[in-house]
Amino acid sequence: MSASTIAAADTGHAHHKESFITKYVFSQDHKMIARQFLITGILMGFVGGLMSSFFRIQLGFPNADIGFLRPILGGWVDEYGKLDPGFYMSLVTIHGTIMVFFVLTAGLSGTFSNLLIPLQIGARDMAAPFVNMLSYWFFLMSSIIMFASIFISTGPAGAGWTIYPPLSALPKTMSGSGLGMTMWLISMALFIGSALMGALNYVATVLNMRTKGMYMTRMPLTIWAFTVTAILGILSFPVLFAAVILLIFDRSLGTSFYLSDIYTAVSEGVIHKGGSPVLFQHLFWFLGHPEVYIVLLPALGLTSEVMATQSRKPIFGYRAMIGSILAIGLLSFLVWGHHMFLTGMNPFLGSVFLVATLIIAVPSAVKTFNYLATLWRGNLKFTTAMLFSIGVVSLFTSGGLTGLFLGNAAIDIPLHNTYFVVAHFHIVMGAAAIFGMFAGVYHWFPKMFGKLMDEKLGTLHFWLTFAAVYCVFVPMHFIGLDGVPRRYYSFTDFEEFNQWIQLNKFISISAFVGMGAQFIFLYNFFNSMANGRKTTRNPWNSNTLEWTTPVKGIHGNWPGEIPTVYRWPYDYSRPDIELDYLPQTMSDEDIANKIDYASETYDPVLTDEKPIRGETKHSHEEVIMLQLIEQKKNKNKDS
Amino acid sequence: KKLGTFNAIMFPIFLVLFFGGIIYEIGVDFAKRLPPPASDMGVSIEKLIIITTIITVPVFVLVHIALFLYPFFYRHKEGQKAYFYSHNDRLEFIWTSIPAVVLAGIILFGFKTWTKVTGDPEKNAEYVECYAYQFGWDFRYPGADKKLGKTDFLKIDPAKNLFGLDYSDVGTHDDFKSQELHLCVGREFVLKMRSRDVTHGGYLPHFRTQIYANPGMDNSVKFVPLFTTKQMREKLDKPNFNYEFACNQLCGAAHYTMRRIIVVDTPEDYEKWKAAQKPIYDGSQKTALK
Repeated sequence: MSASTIAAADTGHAHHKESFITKYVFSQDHKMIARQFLITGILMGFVGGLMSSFFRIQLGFPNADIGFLRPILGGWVDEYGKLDPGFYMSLVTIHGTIMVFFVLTAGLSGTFSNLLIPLQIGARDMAAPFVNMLSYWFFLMSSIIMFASIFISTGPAGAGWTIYPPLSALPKTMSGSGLGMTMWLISMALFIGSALMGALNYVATVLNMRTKGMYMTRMPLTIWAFTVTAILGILSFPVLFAAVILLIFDRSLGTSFYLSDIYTAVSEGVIHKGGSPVLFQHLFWFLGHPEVYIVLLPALGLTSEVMATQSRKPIFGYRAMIGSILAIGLLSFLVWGHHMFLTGMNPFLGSVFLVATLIIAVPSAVKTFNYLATLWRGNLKFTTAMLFSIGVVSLFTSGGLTGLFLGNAAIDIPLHNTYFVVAHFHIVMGAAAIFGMFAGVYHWFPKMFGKLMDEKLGTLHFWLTFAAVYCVFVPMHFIGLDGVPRRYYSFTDFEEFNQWIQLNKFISISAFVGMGAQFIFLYNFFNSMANGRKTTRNPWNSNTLEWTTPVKGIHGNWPGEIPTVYRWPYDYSRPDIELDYLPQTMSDEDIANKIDYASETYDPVLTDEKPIRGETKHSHEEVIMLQLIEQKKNKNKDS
Repeated sequence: KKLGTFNAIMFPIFLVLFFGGIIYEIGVDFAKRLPPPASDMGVSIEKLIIITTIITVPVFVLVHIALFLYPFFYRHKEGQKAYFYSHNDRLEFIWTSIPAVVLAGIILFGFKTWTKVTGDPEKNAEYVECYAYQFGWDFRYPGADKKLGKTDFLKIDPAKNLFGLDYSDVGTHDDFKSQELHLCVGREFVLKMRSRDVTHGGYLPHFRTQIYANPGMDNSVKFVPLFTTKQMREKLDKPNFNYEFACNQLCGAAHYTMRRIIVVDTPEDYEKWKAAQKPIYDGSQKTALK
């Protein structure tokens, strides 16, 4: 292959015609796929939030007549205006499923890994763009099926987002365990397919397609976070897939993987012997625990990036942060049993998981201290993204500390399945992770849509949401310490639990305020897409590569060659540099030559070693193949 | 720029409201907390909770003071640069090793408590079976032979043989049923959780104990009750107080309705109560064996 053909490939797609369908619908461009993930994630998030509003009405106002909701909830509100208790369980189940998987996994990783990986490492696109496109369409199909399951007559799945058998395996035990559960399983099988396709792409791209000079230790922390997250997904999602398959067998083929001594099945002529519900829990939580780090790590990565950029300071302890991400990733595979302390497994196992779980607090603490040190003596700009990043650190600390109680197995004995647990995981996932996602949306909105979001509305959105989140979840700790169980439709049967009527009202009202605040975000998001202020190429004066591409994103990202990288991403406020930032594409020679990188016309490849130009046609795959060959050549040249 | 100052001031204000709110909430609802643990293992767990609280609260407070004051002190000022400080390995070592040492301490203490609580019961412990179903609990006592008789889930008949007792085992002949869970102070009880349909959770919040009731599995908790119902009523000045038994693992639509009363007696009253109960087996079941 001649140098000219390689060079031409490197200039991007010269002759690639795009129709409306290939540009906006079945797009293989990672930036479009990112937007698709984001919009779908936001829509699903709205549905999940609506579910929580409904069950918070029940919990805060159990005696209220909610007949006014019949236009939406139909027959699930009985003739006395009371919510059906079985449907309440379905609301809780679908809320959890949508929020954990559809919003915080696909919506968070799917959006930002797709958007930022090629842009920040200097690649034209993902390693396998067609598979990447499939990952979105599987996600969309999965979302449609999950959404549709809400409307069937026997009700959506209702055994909790954790869908433990035998409750989820025996349709007779719960209405939602019928067709609703089947649809849940199909939806999740597709979702897992989507997640795996995406994750394989992310890892392959990061490991193989970094531009010249982008050593692993020059990658932004976002990429480190996304890569480890993807590895966690690749190793753990298949186990959930196996759990789902075995559950389908138990439901439909009369097997007994999870079932034993079930009296209610005997009347149907099925004798279950030898299975164990605990088996499902092991398989589920083997994914379930890494899953929560799949949710959290990207949020922490986004926070690192936003914090460094808006503090105008390097992220403190870059290598320690990488080490923490790796440690958290590794340890996350060793702690799944802490969700199962009370399931009757051998207490020795409990000891093992106790130790591993508490150890994971160490890298988490290290990250928190590094964030604080980043802010210390910085020059803090309070963009909305920065506000949410600071919120992430607060919520991560608060929620992480209550994890120390729950992870200590003996303390979990009185607190398991109570509101203490609900408070803990909502603060770390439902608050910290979603705040990371908001930070990402506000910060990279200009890159996705070429416009800026309104900062005043963003500030209002942040403060209302931040206050609401703490008002909703801090009281739940006290309720949980009183032993109030989760997943209870009402507490009126129990004297001990029935004391919290006032506080539950307060929580519900705070939740409605919080939900209302999200409409400010939705308005801001969609309105800014159309009417927002046009952005410059690098609105945040950031160092990373994505801000060297044109404002209106092009297929192949850079109009010319891909820039070479000469430094790490965190040269902010260097004392020897006049401006308070220094892009990764600036070599020492460029600095000496006083190249003006703040200008809109800064060309990041101007002084890079130029290959010879030529002209030819190439498909996506050929372009990437040629780029890989080119990079290999460069590597061999350097070594 | 106005937004910048606004946000810089909002963080310290939020800090005050945040801490103030938490302290206010604790003050207002302190009386609603659970009474002191009603079991020996509950006391051990409470100790662990208090120690963990003493360690975590200062961390929570100090991190938030820093986190919410830094935005005020280091807000963006035009013409000023941040302090370029990228790393400090010694600092990393310090703030890695101190949490590691503290956590090692928590782990050791937690491990000791866990093995104590989940260890083997005493030889002369009293056994009671807590039998769960959609949607209630029934309690089976072993009777005079102190042994719970054999059961077989294929023999379960809610009308005629609720527990699925296998009457060919003589041990079942003195078992009796109770709708309330009766315990007594000073003796170790082992509660065996059993289920005939889905996974339930046997939860005794006042005693700080619970464990799942998985169908086909034999889970149990052990503890020594410390206060009779009468004593707890006097302690709390609540003459209508009752210990409560709840289901704490999602088991279906009516999961929240599975309440039973726990009665804790003096040993004498407890023996009197047991002696007054009639066994389930009345001789007629012999001929009705499948």
